[in-house]
Formats: sequence, structure tokens, C-alpha cells
Amino acid sequence: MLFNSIEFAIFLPVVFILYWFVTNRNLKVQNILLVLASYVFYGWWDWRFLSLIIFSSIIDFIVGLGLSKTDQPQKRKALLYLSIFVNLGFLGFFKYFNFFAENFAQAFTLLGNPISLRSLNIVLPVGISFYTFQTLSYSIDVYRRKLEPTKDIVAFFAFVSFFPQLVAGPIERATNLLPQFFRKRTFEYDKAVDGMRQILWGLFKKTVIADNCAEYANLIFNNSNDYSGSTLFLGAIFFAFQIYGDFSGYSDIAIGTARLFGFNLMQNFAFPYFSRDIAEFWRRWHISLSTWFRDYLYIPLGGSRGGTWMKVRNIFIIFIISGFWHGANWTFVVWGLLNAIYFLPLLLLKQNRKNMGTVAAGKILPSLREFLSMSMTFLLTVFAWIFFRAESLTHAFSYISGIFSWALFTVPNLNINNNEKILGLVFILHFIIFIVLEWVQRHRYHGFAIGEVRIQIRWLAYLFFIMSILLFNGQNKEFIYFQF
Amino acid sequence: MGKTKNLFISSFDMKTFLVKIFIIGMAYIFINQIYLVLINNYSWNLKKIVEANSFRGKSFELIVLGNSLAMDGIDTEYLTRKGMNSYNMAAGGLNHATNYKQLKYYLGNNSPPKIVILGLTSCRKASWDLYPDPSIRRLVEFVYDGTLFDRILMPMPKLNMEVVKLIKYVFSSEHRNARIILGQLKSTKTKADLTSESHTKLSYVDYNSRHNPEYIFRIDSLCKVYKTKLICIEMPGFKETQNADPFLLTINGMNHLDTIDRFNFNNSTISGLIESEYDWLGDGHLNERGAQKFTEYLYTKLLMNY
Repeated sequence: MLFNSIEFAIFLPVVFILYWFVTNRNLKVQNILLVLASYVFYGWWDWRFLSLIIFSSIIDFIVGLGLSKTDQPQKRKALLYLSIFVNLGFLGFFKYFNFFAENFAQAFTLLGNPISLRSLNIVLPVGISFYTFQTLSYSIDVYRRKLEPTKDIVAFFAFVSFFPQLVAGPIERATNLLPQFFRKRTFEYDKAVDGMRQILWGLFKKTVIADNCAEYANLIFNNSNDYSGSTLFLGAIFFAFQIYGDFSGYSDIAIGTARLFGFNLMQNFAFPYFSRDIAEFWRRWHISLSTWFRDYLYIPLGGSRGGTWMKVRNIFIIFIISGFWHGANWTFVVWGLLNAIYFLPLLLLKQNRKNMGTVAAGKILPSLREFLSMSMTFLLTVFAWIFFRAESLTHAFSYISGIFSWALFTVPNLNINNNEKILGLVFILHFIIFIVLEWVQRHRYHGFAIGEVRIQIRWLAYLFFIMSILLFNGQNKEFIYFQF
Repeated sequence: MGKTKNLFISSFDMKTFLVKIFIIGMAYIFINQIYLVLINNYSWNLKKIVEANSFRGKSFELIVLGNSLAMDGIDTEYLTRKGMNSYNMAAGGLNHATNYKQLKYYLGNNSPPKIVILGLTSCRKASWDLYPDPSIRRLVEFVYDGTLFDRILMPMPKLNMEVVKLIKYVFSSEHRNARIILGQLKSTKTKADLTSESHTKLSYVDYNSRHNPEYIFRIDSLCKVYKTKLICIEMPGFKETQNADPFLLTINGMNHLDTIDRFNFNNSTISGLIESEYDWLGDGHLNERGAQKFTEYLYTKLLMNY
């Protein structure tokens, strides 16, 4: 079920009413409702893959119980490996089988021993990369004795499948989300209202900003040979805002929805395009994944301790795996590699924690230096996004070579008709409003936290955003991160 | 306001929250109804689709189907003056699947016409490929099949593309001065064709990428049931979209369409007829003057023989 669909507009109030008015007196029943609602939400897309979530939940629940009953290191390790094997096994099979099969076949062919490995017609289960990481965090934290294993199977199933963040995150840590299923939730007006605002903001980012950017980005990337350097450059910028609006919009809707049910999810995006360097960008972009890799991969590998070689190795491992997590294609690996290259000088020069606070805190505008740093960081990310969006490495390199030509200094031309020009002008207006609001709100939890603004302005803003979402939404409805 | 009240229906927090949600819900319905009133009055597309949907017992001799090229470019008033009682049912953005639905509904409620003209977009038009899509356009679906639920809650989500017409109405006097006569949109706006010719022959691939032969075939089958003659014409367009094919269109590989009369009004002959400076209103659409010229040509060259 998509957040931006009629089905969800009916599903959400129904679950809300059942949750607060029918099942509210019994925590267990309320959790059962959340599990059922989450399974309906997921099964709406393809009910067959519910079996994966259920199986993964059972395994990690049993692993947790097993870990609580033994202190023997070998047994504990075996249980942890079981969880890792099952979760990464599912992920590996559904997401990476064909990639490895094709690449092995190609490698053997290059070595002069052509072999034929059949690729399978595998459908990637939506959200598998997200919920497997979430359940893994439970097993690892229990193994590390950071978390008491739960004996409440309903709460655990609700934690794994919690519908607001099931298919595209934020990837919650068991230490944060699981205990919330054990506590009686209370309806908090301020939290619910702010949750609604965050949902509205997320829908605006997804439907008006991302979906309209998607139309231009798709047009340009899919016909990149027909466009001049400046138009190709514009296409990459469109994609940068498409992916930001799409993914951070989803996170806003997820966090806002969870707040309606009395849950607090972690912040997933913190205005990343206002970052002054790449290290800051990665502290602000897809925070739940970055911190997951930091806690469960980077730090166990040694992190930034040890010698220079160790630091370099760890940075490359973390970014390449992060790239590969996004998809089974070399383009994602190169995207990760590029980010590692961007990051490395900052780490080696110990500049990676230089920009920790909000940019231009307490000021209306950034200083020239801050502006230039933000622009440079943004351009570096835009360049890396080309690999992320391209169909193949060949496509990415031809796109980049198209940009770096004399035509980069011409006026971009999209060859669009009159109606599209009018919609384009309206989009520019919306885009300016979006950027201004993001800038003004950059020190807050989300871009539409306007609880302190005068009531008349607040309601006018609600009306404006509702009308914009209804009238100026783009045609592209799917969320990009569903495919990851 | 207390932040951690127990949960029951009389909770003040919950009541306040639900009241506000109710107000937003009412505001949503209100703005949707305002929008519906506005587009009912100022969107040519909606106006004429509603009009065509309301026909009962009509006996037009000729019906025009197609998208905005046909809506602007075929002067049904001229044809009616010539003795062919005609109506232009084409509207902006309509594809063949939607044309089929319109025709089926019309034939079910009115006398069958003698001729149906289906205006085809140039196969070389460089635009997003919207027309082969077999889904019914939302505007027609809303008017023809809309439920009470749709009318109350869905005008903005379903008819959002009409907002462009409202914007045009506000900012363009030429748009305000345009009028619909017998279904044709007559506009005096002029925009010169500054594109250049690159005449090439059409191929099966060109044809399939712009049109949906399955629905053209269905329209033809429907016409045959009612003993109506279907004539497909490729509408004139800007020079860059014109082709080098003969007047009688034959597309290799499209055998199932061989029985349908297909004529090409978008080759070099049309360049001689339409004045590139005065006869277009923009993007390959004919203005009032161009449409009259073209319809006169269409009538003498083709229609008077039927």
C-alpha cells in the first residue's frame, strides 16, 4: 500500500479508530491490531511475501530466547550466525542472486572458460533490505547484551512489521522501538498534530517536489543522448531533489504516522543539502542506515581507530557496502566508492567532525564561506547521484561526458509544450517555497514544524499545501526506495 | 492541555484532535466543490465533455473524435454550413481508448452518424508518449462514470490537470476570448511555426509509438455495427512533425487496419495550404483561421465524396 494512495487514506483512519477507541484498554490486543494492520498494509502489495517477514520474525524471536538461555560463547555465536545467515540469506537470494550469477558468468567468459549460469526470474520483496536490517539489529543487540530479549511474541512481531516504517524505514533499532511496544501508549494532542503536519510535509515533498522532478529527470536520463550539457546537468539536479523529496518525504510520512499511534521513530533526514562537507552530509542523509552501518559494521571493524591503512580500509568497506545495499548494480558500488573518496580526505585530516551544528545558526542567511561550502558539497553529491540514477556504468560515463562539454554553458532546453511550461512555472514557485521553508526550519525536527506560528497563517499553510498536493502532483507514484 | 491523558472517547485531547480533523475534512470538501464550479465554468475540456455526455436523441451526420489537435482543427460549424450536421467531440489529452468510450456512449443514446472522423496526432510529434496508453482519461471517466463519492471528494485529485486551464484563463486574454462552437474550440491566438521540415517516411514503429491500433480497430468495429463510416486522418502539425508519406496512409505491418480509410493531412501538401505565420495557435494546433482552411480542404478533398 502506498502512503500517497486512496487505499491508505481509508486504511489509516480505520486503524486509528480501532487503535484508540476499540483496542486501547488492552496493550496486547492493541499490539495484535498493529501486527494485523501491518500485514494488511504489506500484503496489499503481495501477500505471498508476508511469509518472509513472518519467518524472519520467528527466527529472530527464537534466537533472542536462545541467547537469553545460554552464556556459552560458542552457542551464542552460533545463534547470532543463524540470525545473520537467515536474514542476509533472504536478502542475498532475492536481491543479489542474479547479479552474482551474471557477474560470475561474465568473469569466467573473460578468463576464456565461458559458462552458462541461469538467472532466475526473482521478484524483489518490497522493503526486504529495511526489515532484515531491523531484525538483525535486535539479534546483534541481544548478543552484545545491550538489550534484554523479549518473551512477548506479539510485541516482537509488531516491532518487526510496524507498518509506518516497514517498507522504507527509518530502520529502527530494537533498543529504541521495541520497548515502546511494552508501554501503554497515550494519545498526545501536540504530538498527533505535529505528526499530521509532518505527514502533510512528507506528502508535499513526495508528490509535488519529487514526483515533478521525476518527470524531468526521467525524461532527461532516459534520452540523455538527445540533450545538451546544460540540460543534462539540470537533469542530475532534478534527480538530486527527486531522491531527496521521495525518500525524506516517505520518512516524514512514516514518522508522522507513527506519532499518531503514540510512537517515536528516529529522525532519518536532517536537511542534508545544507551540509558544509560530505561528512556532515552523511550525518544528515538516511541517518538510520548510516548509523546502522556505523554501529554494526564500522565500529566492529575498528572504526577510525588504528593506523591510516585501517581507517582507509574501513571507510571504503562501509561506503561500498552501503552502495551495494541500495541495489545489485555496479552503478551503486561506484556511487559508494565516490562517496568514500569524498569522505577520506576529511577523515585523514581529522576534519570530519568540523561541522557538527546547524549551518548559520541564528542567522537569516549563510556567510559567503558557508554558502560556497554548501554549494560545493551539493555539487559533489549531484555528481555522485548520476551513478546512482544511471542504468549502467556506460550510461553514467556517457551522461557525464555529455555534461562536460561546451554545451554546459548554453541555456537548458527541455522541449516541452505550453501546458508543461505552465506547470513548470508553478513547480518553480513550489520549489522556491520548499527550499525557503527547509532553510528557515533547518534547526527543527522537520520542515513543517510550525506549531508556534499564528493560527491564521498555519491554517492558510495547511490549505495551500493540501491544494498543492491535490492539484500539482506529478505522475510518478512509486517510492524509489521501495526497490532497495 | 494535558499531554498524557488516558484514552477514551471523552478525552479532551482526542476530542479536540477529531474536531480539527473534521474541520479539515469539511474544508477539503468545500475547496473541492469550489474547484468543480470553477472548472465547470472555465475549462473548455470539461464543458464540452459534459455537453457531449448530455446528448440524447441527437442525429449528427458527422462526429469528430480525437485529442486537442482535432478539437481545435476541425471546424464543425463550417461542415454544418455545408450541409453536414456535425459535432466535435475531441478534447485535450484524450487517447483512443477514451475516444472509443465516448463513441460507444454516444451511439447508445443517439442516432448513429454517417461518418466518424478520428483525428490522429502526428506520428513524429516529439512529446511524451501518452496516447498508446489504454486507460480511460480521468476527465471522461469522471463525467461518464463518476459516482456521488467522486463528485464530493475527488474533483481535485481526479481533475487536477484542468488547473492549467484555469491558470490560462486568468493570465491569457486570448484563452478567455476563445469559444466552443459545435464542440470545436475556436481561438484567434496566433503563434508562428518556426520549426523546420525533416520529412521522413513513417514506419510501423512510429505508428505504434504514437497510437493504439487495438482501440482504432475497436472504434472501427463499433462503427461497422452501426453502419457508420470511420475515417482516420493524421492531423496537420508543425513542420517538424510533418511526414513524406502519400495522402493515402498505408503502414506496413498494420494489416488489421487495412480495411479502415486512413488519410494523411500532415505531408508537404499541408505546408502549402497552412500559412506558418498566421494559422497556428501553437504547438501544432490550428487556430480559428487555420482550422477553417483545413476543414474546407478536408471537405473538398475528402468528405464531399462520402
